[in-house]
Amino acid sequence: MSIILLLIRKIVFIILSFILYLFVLYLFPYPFSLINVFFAIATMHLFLNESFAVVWYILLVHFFVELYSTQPFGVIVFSAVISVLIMLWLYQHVFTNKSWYTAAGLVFCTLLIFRILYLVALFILSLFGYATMFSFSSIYYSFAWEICLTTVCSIVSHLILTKSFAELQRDRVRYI
Amino acid sequence: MYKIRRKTCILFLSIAAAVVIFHNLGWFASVEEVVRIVINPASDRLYQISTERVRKQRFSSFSELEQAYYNLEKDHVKNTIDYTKLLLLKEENDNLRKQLRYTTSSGVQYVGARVIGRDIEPIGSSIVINKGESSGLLPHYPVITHEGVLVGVVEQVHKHTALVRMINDNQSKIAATIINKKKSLGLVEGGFGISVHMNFIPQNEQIHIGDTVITSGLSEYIPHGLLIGFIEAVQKETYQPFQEAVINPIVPFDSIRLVSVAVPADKE
Repeated sequence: MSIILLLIRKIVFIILSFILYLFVLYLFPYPFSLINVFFAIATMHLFLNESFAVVWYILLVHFFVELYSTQPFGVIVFSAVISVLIMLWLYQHVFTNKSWYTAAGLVFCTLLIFRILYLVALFILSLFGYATMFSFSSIYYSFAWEICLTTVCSIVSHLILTKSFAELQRDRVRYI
Repeated sequence: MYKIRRKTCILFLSIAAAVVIFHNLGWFASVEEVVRIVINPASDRLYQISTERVRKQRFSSFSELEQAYYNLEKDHVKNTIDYTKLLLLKEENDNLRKQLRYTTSSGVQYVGARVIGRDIEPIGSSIVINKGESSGLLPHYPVITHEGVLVGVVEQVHKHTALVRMINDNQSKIAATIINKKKSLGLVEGGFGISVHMNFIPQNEQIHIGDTVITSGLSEYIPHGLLIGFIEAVQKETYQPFQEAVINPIVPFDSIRLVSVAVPADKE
């Protein structure tokens, strides 16, 4: 029973974070509508839980995103999963603490890797005719804004959540 | 506590691959439909609120609103005159067709739909409408608004919803004609923000700012005569075989609420 309740809680959390993403996307003015809520939440999730649950979270929310995207199915999911696995590695080996600058660094690196993988995947698919190539110059600004604003958002959320969660005030990660 | 290992990474990537494969096989169709049923009402409500805000923010001062009103009044008078001429021409055309016993090909039916969401990524320009396969929609059908303005093409169809790629999307390509002496042909492509570009217009053909651009009918399922926009600027290099035009679309893409999908009558 407790497992079922836990599962329901996780599903509700995923749906609510997707609705939050839509809220930011539709109601915030440009360029704030580009804030990638999922990666900001994923970073806090990683700091609080330090488990692979963050990979499941990213996989599922980006599966939802794929349902509303015109890009070939799989591009977003693969890019997101690979980038969050790299985020876990960075957290374990590079940024080994839970400070606000770690949150910023993790979000910055993860989003940068996510968008690079995304463009590479689209480029490869376009070679096989599954996608149409387009001008990159029109999207550089969007990606740059997305990365910068999401980084700022993660710093702000970290500073706010530090007041409520003692776990975020620890200097080192648990397994070290 | 976790330790990231190669096996774990391979496991997660395999799960992601399985998700993609199952989606393409259609095994996740019912799960996807459930997700859409849960998410669509929230998306619909948030989109309605966002379009309300866009409409209210269009004018920054009263004088701007007043000027827009006067311009609309002038356009209204001009359109009324044009409409009257059109009615007379139509009547004449019908009479001539009767005399020649001209039979037309099967027409087009329009399926009305409401916009319940828009592009979810920074890279694209698309909308989600609340009609899908169950209403007879198929991919590549044109989507119009205001009874004749092309706004996009159906890209993906689900049971009760569809994804529409707008004409200013960076992967959109529509065959078009300019209403000028030579009826110049070209390709309307998006990806340039609000405006769209028309490329591959022969260098020797005269095009002017203000010329109307319509669909040429050469794209499958997209009939001839759907309005796309007006030419705003012409880019010409003497050593190039083709010239380009910047087109200003008629309708603002960020506040579309109601659309129609043109379904060929013989497909119904």
